[in-house]
Amino acid sequence: MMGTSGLILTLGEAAGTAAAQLADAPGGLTARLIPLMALLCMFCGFALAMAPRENEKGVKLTALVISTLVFLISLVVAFSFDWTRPGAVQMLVEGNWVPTLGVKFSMGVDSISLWLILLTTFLMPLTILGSFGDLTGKLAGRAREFYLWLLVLEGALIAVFAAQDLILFFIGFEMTLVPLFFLIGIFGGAQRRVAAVKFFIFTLAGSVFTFAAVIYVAYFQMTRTGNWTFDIGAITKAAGAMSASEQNWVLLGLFIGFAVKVPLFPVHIWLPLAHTEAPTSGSVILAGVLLKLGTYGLLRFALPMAPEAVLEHADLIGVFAVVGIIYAALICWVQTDIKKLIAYSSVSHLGFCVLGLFALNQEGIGGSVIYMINHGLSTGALFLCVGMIYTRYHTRQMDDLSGLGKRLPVWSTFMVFFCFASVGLPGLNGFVGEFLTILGAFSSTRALGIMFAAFASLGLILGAIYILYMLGKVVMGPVKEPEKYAGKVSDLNFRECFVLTPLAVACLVLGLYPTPMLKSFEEPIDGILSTYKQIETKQAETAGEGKGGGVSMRRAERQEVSP
Amino acid sequence: MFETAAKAVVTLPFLSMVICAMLAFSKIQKTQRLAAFITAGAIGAAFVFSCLLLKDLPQVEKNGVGAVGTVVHYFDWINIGDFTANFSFYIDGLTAIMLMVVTGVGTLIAVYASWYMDGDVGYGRFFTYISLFIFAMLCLVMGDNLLLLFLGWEGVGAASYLLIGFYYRKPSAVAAAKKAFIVNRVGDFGFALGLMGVFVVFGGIQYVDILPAAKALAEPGMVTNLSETQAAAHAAATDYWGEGKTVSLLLLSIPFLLMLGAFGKSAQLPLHVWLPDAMEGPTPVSALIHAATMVTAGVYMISRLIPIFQLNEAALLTVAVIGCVTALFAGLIALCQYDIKRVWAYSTVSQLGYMFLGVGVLGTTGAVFHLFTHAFFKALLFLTAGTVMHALAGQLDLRKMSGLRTKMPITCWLMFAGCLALAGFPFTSGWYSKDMILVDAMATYPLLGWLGILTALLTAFYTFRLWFKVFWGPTDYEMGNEHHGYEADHHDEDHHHHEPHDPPMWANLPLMVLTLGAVAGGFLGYGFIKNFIGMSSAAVPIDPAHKVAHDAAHAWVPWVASAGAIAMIGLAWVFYVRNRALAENCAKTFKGAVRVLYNKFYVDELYDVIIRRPLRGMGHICHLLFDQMLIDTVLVGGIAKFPRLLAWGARPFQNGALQGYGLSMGAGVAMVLFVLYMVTK
Repeated sequence: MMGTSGLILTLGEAAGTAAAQLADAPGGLTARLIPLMALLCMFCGFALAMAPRENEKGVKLTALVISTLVFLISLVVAFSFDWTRPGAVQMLVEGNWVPTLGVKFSMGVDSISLWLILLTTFLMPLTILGSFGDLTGKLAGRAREFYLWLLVLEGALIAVFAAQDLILFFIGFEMTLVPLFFLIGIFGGAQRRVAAVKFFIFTLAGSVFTFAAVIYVAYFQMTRTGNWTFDIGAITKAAGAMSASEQNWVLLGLFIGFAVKVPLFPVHIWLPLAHTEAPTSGSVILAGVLLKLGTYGLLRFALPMAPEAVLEHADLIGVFAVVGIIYAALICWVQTDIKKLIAYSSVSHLGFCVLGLFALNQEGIGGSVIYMINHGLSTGALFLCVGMIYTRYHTRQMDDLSGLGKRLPVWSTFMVFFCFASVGLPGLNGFVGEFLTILGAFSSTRALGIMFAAFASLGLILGAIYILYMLGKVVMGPVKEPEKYAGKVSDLNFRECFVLTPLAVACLVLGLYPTPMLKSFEEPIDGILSTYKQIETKQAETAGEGKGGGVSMRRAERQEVSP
Repeated sequence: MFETAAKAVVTLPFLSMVICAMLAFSKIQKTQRLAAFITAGAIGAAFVFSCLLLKDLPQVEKNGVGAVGTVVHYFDWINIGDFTANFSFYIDGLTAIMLMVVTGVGTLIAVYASWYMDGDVGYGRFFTYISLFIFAMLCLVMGDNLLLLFLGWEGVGAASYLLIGFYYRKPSAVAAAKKAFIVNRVGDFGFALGLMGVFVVFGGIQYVDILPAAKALAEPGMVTNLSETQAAAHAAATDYWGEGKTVSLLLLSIPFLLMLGAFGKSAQLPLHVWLPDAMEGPTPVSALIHAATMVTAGVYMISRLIPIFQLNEAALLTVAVIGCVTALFAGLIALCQYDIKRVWAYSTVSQLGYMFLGVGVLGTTGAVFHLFTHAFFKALLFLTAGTVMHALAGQLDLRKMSGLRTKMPITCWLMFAGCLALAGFPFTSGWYSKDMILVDAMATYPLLGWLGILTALLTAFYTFRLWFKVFWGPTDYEMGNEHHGYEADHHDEDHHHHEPHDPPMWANLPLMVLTLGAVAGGFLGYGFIKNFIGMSSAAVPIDPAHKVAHDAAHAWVPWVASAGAIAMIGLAWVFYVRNRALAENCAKTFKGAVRVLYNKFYVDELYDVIIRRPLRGMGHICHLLFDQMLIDTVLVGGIAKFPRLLAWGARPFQNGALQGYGLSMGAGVAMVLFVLYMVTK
């Protein structure tokens, strides 16, 4: 008992000091906006739980106002970000948290984090607005919890993307599980409990390995410098000195956890179930943002921390990615549930994301990052569209629905548009990432190669097949509706159009003018690739000095250096 | 001015698309009708701006390296690392010709469609798609790099999908739309890989750099004064040229990959299956997209990239052979089809085959010329077929119409002009352009030339078979049962049986312009096309040795082909006007052959069995066997069972019986003592 209360006291004190230090963080007011966003979400979320149960309308509006406010703050952050040096971590806020272990509360953003935060804050108000009609029947009256968890989720996501400290990153990373667990488990479909448990255990089990790997790297850093720190930059810098076998283990650990999160074939199995059972908003955030934690983690940790292991195993990982692309696309084609089809399509799409990362060049990684954002927009929108159908017909079975173009022309227009975006039609956003990731794999000199690109491109054909199969069944064809609702449903109302229009505009703009975003990725990616360039120059040097013994020489060198 | 005009050409249809999309949701028919005006106006204005570009074109300075285009930068599109692809336009003679075809024919068809689609509930939607199509097509022909071409390439595919599936409640239309998009995607798969190959080999995808570089590789010494970027592309590509077998394999395979894209878009074997089904779309669409413009994109692309194709002789030969075989194959099928639009569809596949034959033997001028004339006469043929279909309430079956000459005289003679051009009657436009290709083919590969002439004979026969059947003989017809694309509903008010009649004069006007092009386009356009191709990257100089064979063929091929065509027209007259029983007897005698041709050589069925079904089967296997059984149940379920298994093993020890606990306690104590004893001993 004493131990626990002591710990709480210590933590409380630590939080107090952290808060005090936050107050005089350098960088002025704007620097504090990032933690402010995260804390605002969390605080208001919990405050919402205390709202009167009857006042559902008030709860909904409050949630909408808060998320919109957060979006506006994120815009301020984006405008005060110095885009001339997008690779540097800016607006850094640091405070000591657990000084003895060097754990800090530190948040800051570079361009990649910032874009992902913007994606989160952009999607959230739309999702909340889109969910206004969802809580009916048994769930009526539970709006408080629903929006509590959504806001907490947003806060956690912002914290993950902005975290510059490993422990903070991990707290955020794991904290995303809790709200989603409840969102699925309480507000989901018939099999919601199984889905929630499966989702939770899968990702938690995976992240245990990741955590072990990260702790090892931190420990390695400590053995070299003698001081504990969890600063991501410092740890990454130190990690390069690990021996090849250490790097292999670290990569394996990181990869297991992040691959589950992505999810990569064959550990994708939790995703379709989670998606089909989750409420619309849960699916939107899950597909739109949460999955990207996996690829973001690979980008931030796996690539820079274990470069030699990555070089050695990139092809193997590429094989998983490509198999996943084709495998999931084939599965999409035999689905009968629209939502499940889109869920599997996410598995296929995220395969491109991973493939691009391990191409280890500007085109591949840049394409992968923009794919994260574009997939969030188009798949998020698709889930919203499916949700709108579900609230009308209470079914998502393709056999029950047909020819909705006649009944719901506005909905159908949006649906076709987002399907085209998702299938990678040039001029819309999905294409940019898809093309660049394949191009990266094709032209990579470090890993992968033409065959990977060729097989991944098969995804282009299969993607068209399953998406058009779905459109042909649902939007086109002779009109067919469930009898109970035949002729009674109405097309999208103003609110729903208002939800989908910004997403459609974003899809078009990012499809036609992605260059500013892509250019802002170049510098951070260069930072990651510099490690690889160093390895290459070193290899070239050793190959020049002593012929034949390149690899073993390099390893011998390393052993001398490391204590 | 030049730059503004180039930007306006692309921007106008885009704006028109956005406006029409908004109008399309209007419930008021009058508002929807605005869409037609806006679309026709926008495309018409684009045509005017194209003319301005054309006018300024000759002043563009030639730099002597084969690429004589002007680049107009619009805005950045995808730029990262070493990769650059912008919204920039490359304007040279070839672009100008394509612009003329796309915007010119586009305007005419938009005007015709405003009559044809009148009264359809999807009026605004139709013109939105048409604007989208024109926008994408203009990106395709104007893009200064392969990726913008790809944007147009896929964009026209999407527009085509939407338009084929325009009558979206008809299952056959939905299936056809899907098929068109997916088959095209198979081609695009090749094209995308080819594009990436070009990027890897040349270090860029801008025509300005890669075309001169490729030319310099193909004809070393001929090309001088490369600019800095062109020289860089040349140097990059030199690494892949000659030395190191595996790398140069990439360079050699690029034309084959690109070719696959062209075969998909232009419906060549083995990817031709989608075009005949695409006739499910409204007829103006068939005329615009599936005859005059989109399907010729493959020919445009190969002509544009001819220096890259020249790097690989085998690739050019493949293009020529595939084109020639497709021409013959589709011509044969067209003989035995009964659906008017399908006859024209197979005829289009066949004529596109000619164009591929043309580019395959490096006769880009002939190929593009045929593309130009074909756009006129085939659009005319489709639109007149549409008039007939419209008049007969959707009737398309040749067996159910006859002698319509008296009912629709204008349509009859308009189609006659188109038929003459398609059949290659002397001095019509088709005669000039087709013979140019045949001469080139004869001079290079005589076998392909003879097959081409054989196809020309078939063409004349099936063309006039159709015309004689529809317009000659005793007047007899059966009305169809279609109303705005769907099975007629008896509640439809404006649906009443009426006599077949010609469309109003203003709707016929575009057809008359097209007729002019079909008849006179040949001798008027000949010099124009030759001149403009000469000013483009598609220009291929004829080497002197080849010129002798060329001239020799030129002396006789046109006359043999046209004499044969006239004879075949006569034969068709005997069969389908003079003595129709003869034709039927003939068909009975060769029943087997007719059935195979009627069923299009069973290619669709073949693809279904060898591709679609196995693929879908794999989908099921992946889903049920791997995903649900192996991964979910066995692996995940197995791991989840593991703790329970442990519990199951340990459960008997926790049964609550005291003596059991006592026993295990005793055993434990005994073991500890034993260990202690062993250690201390």
